Amino acid sequence: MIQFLEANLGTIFALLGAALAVGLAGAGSARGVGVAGEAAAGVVAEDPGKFGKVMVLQLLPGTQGIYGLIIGFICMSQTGILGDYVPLSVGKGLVYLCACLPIAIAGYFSAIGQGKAAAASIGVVAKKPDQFGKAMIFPIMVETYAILALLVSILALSGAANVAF
Amino acid sequence: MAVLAMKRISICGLKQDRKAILEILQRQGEIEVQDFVKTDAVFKKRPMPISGAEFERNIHDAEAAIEVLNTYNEEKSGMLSSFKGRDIITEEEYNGFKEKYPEVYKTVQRILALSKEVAEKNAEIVKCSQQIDMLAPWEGFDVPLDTNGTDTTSIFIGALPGEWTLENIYKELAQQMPEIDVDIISKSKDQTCVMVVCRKENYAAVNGVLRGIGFAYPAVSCPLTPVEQKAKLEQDIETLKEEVKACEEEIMSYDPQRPDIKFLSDYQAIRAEKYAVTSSLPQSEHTFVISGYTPAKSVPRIEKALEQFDVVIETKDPGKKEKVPVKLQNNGFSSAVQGVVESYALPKKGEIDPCFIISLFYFIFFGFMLADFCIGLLIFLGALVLLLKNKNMEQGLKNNVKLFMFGGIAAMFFGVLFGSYFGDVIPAVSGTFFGHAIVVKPLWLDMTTNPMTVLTLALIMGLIHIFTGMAINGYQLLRKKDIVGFIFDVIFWYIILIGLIIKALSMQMIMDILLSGSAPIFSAQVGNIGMYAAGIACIGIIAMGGRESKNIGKRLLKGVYAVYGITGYLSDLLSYSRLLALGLATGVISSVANMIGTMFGNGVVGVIIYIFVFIIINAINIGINTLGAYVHTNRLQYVEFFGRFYDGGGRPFQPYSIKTKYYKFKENRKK
Repeated sequence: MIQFLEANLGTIFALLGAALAVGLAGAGSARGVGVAGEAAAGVVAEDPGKFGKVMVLQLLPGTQGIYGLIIGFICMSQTGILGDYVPLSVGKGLVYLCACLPIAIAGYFSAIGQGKAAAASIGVVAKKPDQFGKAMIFPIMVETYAILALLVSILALSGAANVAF
Repeated sequence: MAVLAMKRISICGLKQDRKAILEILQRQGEIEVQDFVKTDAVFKKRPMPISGAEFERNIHDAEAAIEVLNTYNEEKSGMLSSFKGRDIITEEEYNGFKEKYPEVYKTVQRILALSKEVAEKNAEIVKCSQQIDMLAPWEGFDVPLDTNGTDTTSIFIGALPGEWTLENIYKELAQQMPEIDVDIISKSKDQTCVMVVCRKENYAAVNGVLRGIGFAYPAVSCPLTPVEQKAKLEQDIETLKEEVKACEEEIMSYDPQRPDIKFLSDYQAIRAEKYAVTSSLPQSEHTFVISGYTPAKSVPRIEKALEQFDVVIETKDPGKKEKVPVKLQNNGFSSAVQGVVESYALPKKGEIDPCFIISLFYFIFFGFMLADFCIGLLIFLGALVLLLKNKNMEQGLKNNVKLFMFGGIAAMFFGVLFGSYFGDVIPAVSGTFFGHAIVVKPLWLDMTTNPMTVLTLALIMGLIHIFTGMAINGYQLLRKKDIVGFIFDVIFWYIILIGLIIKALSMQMIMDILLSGSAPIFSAQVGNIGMYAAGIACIGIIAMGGRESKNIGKRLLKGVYAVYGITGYLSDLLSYSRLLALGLATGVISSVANMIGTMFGNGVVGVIIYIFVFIIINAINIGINTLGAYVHTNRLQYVEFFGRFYDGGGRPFQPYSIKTKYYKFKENRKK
């Protein structure tokens, strides 16, 4: 057991990073989409014709989960978890773990925040369907921070390949 | 391309031509009616004899009749029927409808009456079947339920609560024994149905006892025996059902008239608006005046249409302070983004129509964020097919479909530029299934391996976008003759930003980050010049940024705060990094599909799994990323771009026109 850990600790760290990226960002999106979905269902109960609009708003907090998936996937393919397996050094594994953290953390919290904003925007659409364009912007504001985190995670991952340990 | 110039127009005509003139103007739909001519002793508003409420009621009836028809025969509507647009109707058809009107009106009323009858009859059926249910405990009993006795006997027919045995009942009635006879007709947990026969003179006593133990007469009473009664009720239900069926068949027989009923609704809506406008017009004994705003370019058309009448048409420019309604007009390319601008806000007075400028950037950003040739091609083809198949599509919807069509083309371009075709579908498929990986070289470079270079490109695009916004702000300030504002709010900011950029590009550290370590573009001296220029501009802004304040201290503080706005520029600029992030996301998700799909290797099973995985993941990918590209491009326009120069708040032009739900008039198409 100890030997196994010693040999593979680096890869375990990298996999932990991928797991956090996909897991946390996905969990945040699930909550966000859930909150928005409750609001959306209420609106559709009153007026089924608004389904298209409120569904678009409900989908918005779903993107963090996808960003997490992207990072998780890049991480796994770069570290050989997918494909030909080569154990990583501990240091390199930690680098990969850190590279995954931005989207894991920002993804989780921004998805929840965006879900709440989306729910409020769904309220706007319920009362004033013609203000859809403006209502869409509020949740999008929140998403910026998930995108910034995604960007740093991508850059860090592409840099991590060059780190020598 | 522009906000249409508006004019005030007043038309004075003879009362005998009123109806004809108003109908022409309504069909043209070029005038927003306003009360420019004040009423006085001669010119008065004269309400029309038919009130708006009557039209409303007719429209409501027609809609209700269509609703009734829909419950029996739902109109087939395909998935894409919402793109179809309204059917077109010609002027002759419209005029011909006047004769048909009374008959269609009668049909509508008949449908509503029939639908009411159906509802009533159905309620009756429910009532009958409830009665049948109530008769169930008396099944097989051959005495009418409301029998109360013979010449010498009293008979009680009814129910006792709970379950009773014959013995128990006799026990209760012991005092009247033996001249009493009790029969239990049926019993259940809830009630026991009984018939009690006693001598007439014992009526009161038996009655008292029975009441005491909760005896109640049946809720259904009738002169027939339960068996006969049940048969009669069943007969009734049959008859009612047949009547309902007849009604429904009659309703269905009106189904072919559905288009006429829809037309009735539209016809009434048109008339309602015409009457509303007519009642609001100032009229004298023999003349009337209609006044309002109209686009300047429509004036000749109005004049031409009215030349057959004795009218006086007067136009003049609106006053400086008037809140003139706004109507945008753009060419086929820029009108695609008109919906985007309108859903933010229409330009207010003094602001330009941003559609054209936005259309230059919109598709570049949209394409950058999708950046996949195949997905772009699918979106382009989808939008193209929709446009070709639905010629009558409503204008607003058409603009949006066009938006995606152009966006698809841009995505194809960026896909080729960065070498993304469903991610890496070509090397993945050729390598796995044909044994030889064909590598498609990107036209420029691969986003996934050179993210920093692409990030630099994204930021440069952002810089151009922001600088353009500032330039428009400068143009608007010049148009307002606000020279001071132009110099200090626009030029000085340009100097600061360009100065800082020059300084940055003279530093090796920045070059390492942005341009992968090439030598600085500017020498250190040039960089310093840039910085000094920025510093001077900074002082200028501190001095002038708060120029509306009289108090010197307050003014300088406001100036310092204005300089703090540099952080806004920085965060706006960084916001454009989403171009890279979202552009990467599309290709990476498709690549994920390819990777998972090819895990099962070559062979029949492998190919089937691959196709399955490929379709599902890419369908999700297209959905999410097209939505993402759309909303984030909008955001870059609304927040980063409009933030520089555009407030909006103009009032939309609401002409007196034909506003219909089901049909579109032919003249409206010739524009």
